[in-house]
Amino acid sequence: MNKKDDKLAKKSLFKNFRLTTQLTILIVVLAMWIFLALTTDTFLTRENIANLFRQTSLLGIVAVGLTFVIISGHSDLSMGATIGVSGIITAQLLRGGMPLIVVILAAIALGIAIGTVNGLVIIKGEVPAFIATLSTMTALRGVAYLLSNGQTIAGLPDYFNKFSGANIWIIPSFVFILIIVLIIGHFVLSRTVFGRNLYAVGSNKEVAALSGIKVYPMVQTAYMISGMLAALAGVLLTSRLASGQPMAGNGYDLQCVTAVVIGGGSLSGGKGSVMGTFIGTLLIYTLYNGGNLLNVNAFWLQIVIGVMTILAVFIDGLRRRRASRA
Amino acid sequence: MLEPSVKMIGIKKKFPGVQALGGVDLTIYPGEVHALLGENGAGKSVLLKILLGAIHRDEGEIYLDGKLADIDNPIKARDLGISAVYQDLKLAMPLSVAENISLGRLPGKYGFVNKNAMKENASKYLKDLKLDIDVNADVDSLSVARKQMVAIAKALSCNVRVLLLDEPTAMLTNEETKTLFDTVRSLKENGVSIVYVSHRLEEIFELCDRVTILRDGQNVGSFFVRDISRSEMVTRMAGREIKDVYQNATDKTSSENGQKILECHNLTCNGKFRDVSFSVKEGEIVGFYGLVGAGRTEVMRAIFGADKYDSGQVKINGKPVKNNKIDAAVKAGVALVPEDRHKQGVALNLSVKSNINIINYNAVSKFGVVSPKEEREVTRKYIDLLNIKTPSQEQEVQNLSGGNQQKVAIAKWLNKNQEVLIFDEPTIGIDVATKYEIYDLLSNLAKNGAAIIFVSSYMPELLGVCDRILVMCNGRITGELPKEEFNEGKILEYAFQTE
Repeated sequence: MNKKDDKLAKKSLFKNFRLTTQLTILIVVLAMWIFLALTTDTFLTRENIANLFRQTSLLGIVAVGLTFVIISGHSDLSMGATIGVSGIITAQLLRGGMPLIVVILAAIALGIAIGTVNGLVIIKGEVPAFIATLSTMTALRGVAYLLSNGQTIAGLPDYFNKFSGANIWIIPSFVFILIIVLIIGHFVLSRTVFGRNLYAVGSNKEVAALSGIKVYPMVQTAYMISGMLAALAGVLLTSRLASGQPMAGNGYDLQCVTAVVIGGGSLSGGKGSVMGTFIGTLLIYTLYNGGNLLNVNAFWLQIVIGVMTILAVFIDGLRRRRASRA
Repeated sequence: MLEPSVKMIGIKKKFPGVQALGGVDLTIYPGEVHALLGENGAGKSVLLKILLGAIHRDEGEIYLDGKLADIDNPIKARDLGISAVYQDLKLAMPLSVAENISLGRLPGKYGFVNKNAMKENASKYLKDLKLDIDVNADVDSLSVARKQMVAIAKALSCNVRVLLLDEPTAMLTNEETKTLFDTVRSLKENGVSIVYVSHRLEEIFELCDRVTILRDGQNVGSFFVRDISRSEMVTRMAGREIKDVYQNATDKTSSENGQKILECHNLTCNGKFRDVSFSVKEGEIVGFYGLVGAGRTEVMRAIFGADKYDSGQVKINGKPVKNNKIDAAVKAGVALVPEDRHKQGVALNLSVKSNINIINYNAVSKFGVVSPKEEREVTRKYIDLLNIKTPSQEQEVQNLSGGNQQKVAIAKWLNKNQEVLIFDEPTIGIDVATKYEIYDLLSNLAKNGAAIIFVSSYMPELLGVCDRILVMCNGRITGELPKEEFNEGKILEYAFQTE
């Protein structure tokens, strides 16, 4: 069994990779790309591909944060609103002449603060995550409107606006940042003690607690990570829009959940991976992008996303039930 | 010659990686109490689940009263007269007794429930069982024994012809067990076949007519209980010679001279336990006997920091341990293998490897980064040490048999090398051979200096393994017996002693 164990372990390089599902999704994505490349002459253009990856990166960054929360056995609906508030604050600070580094630090601090509040309410307050983050989401949207007076805040420095379209070496800036987030996220989840403990807490909170793991700090940290990454995405989105918009980030929440679940995450906790989530976001944006190019009405796409989310969660539930029956 | 009520022929079932049943025959007659014996992993629960329609068989046939039956779901099984009362009692807790008995078949017309008919129905079945239970009571509020009776009444109301009882006496007092046996006997008289799954051999001798022994997915023999001896039963189950009564043959003088490692002074938690004081020396195995509800688990959880206590003190090696702080207790050297194996002992969805390492990632990591290689080595070490049967380290624990799950739960704590080990009902629902492995383990741990607490409701194992037995009743320690004075009668007296 020793050799077999080592072989098994090495084969599952991405430790919690649900190999077959994720491979399948990846193949589906590639198939869609091939299809689009053949049926349109706009898909395979440099501009379009860059666009596709830029958008995927934005969602991807937020979705990685959500992955942590979902693995811990909870959920977070407040990311979109966090993006909004972060964007407004970014825009206002920049217009006020603040240097970029301050802006970024402010965003990170904001994200961590929001995550802390979420964590407190959910663990100490014992409010179900769904309700708690739904409320935070609503409140934060309100904050975004208040801070911006409901207006778009434009007039941001040139260098900032150009960042979204720029390349770092040959890779689009957003993609570059996504790659860093993916690498760090994957490493933390699959190779650190924190990651292991997080999976344990998500799998069975009671057992984790009875094994001496401090559940509250774990979950708290997961929410802080989620908040921080969402806030960061808010800064990036502001660059893309060249302005701070109070409605920015609207709709990200459900897409993130879909991405995580398609990628193998389970809403009951204990399962999920950064790589899987990334593939999930690729799928979603390929659909949007392709749909756009094929002139499919955007609202149809929304329906498709909704249906996909239900399917993904349903299949996840099926998996779980079949496993427990075995 | 009587037509068998159940005839299972050549039942085969395969799960990924394991042939759970390799062609099993089972014949049961009406009015018979038929014991089903076997180690965990032998295939008992798989066979029964197939009979109950919860799992589909791969091959084989089932005849009920001589007719070929296709039992593809539990409702069908119920309608065919096959019912089960499980260890975890599938009852709807917040509902009343009457509602539970009629669940799924509420009497009434046009969507309205006829409450009176429902209550009358329930009363009828409870009376048949000579039970004095209020049909309006919430099932939640009943004792375990009475919940069980409600479950049996429910089966009766479904016109049960074959009743499966799975470890029914695990949570019962001797009185309640007697009542259960009387109930079983009256069901017998009405021609009901009873399949009795239990690891308590003395019960099988007292109650059952025949016994079928399963081993590794095969039927290794069906016998009349009067024709087979206890040791032969055990030997056939395990396939090897085993003494049927465990005796801890170690020399215990070392523990007499040992230091007191764990001390409890006047531990009190209102409503749960009062003035609990005792100590455990290094190398000692102290047993805790008591009826269900005596407060033993509550005391142990308090010592471990899982629950808060109101007054008193816990000291490890002379130093007091903070109240209600698991990490403080763990740091001081306490380990708890909980009573509820499935929900608290192991994380079912995680792998064997994750479960064993969860307690001590520090040992396999540097600066917070885990070394997968060391993780695997640690896991391998404990799989070998405890003889855990699993196809691989990555196997999810929920796919292991009960005995092996328990071994994983224990391995986890061995991985932390704690000085004080508390085992709460470690052998419940586990096959005989694995039980003995666990007793051996406890003895060896004690020999190596650990201070061990062994909570159990099964006296024979406490008598065989422990140096001292403390008895609890209604939240207080009512008696203590050193090994020289072990006496079943006295222990029982203490266990029933109210103030």
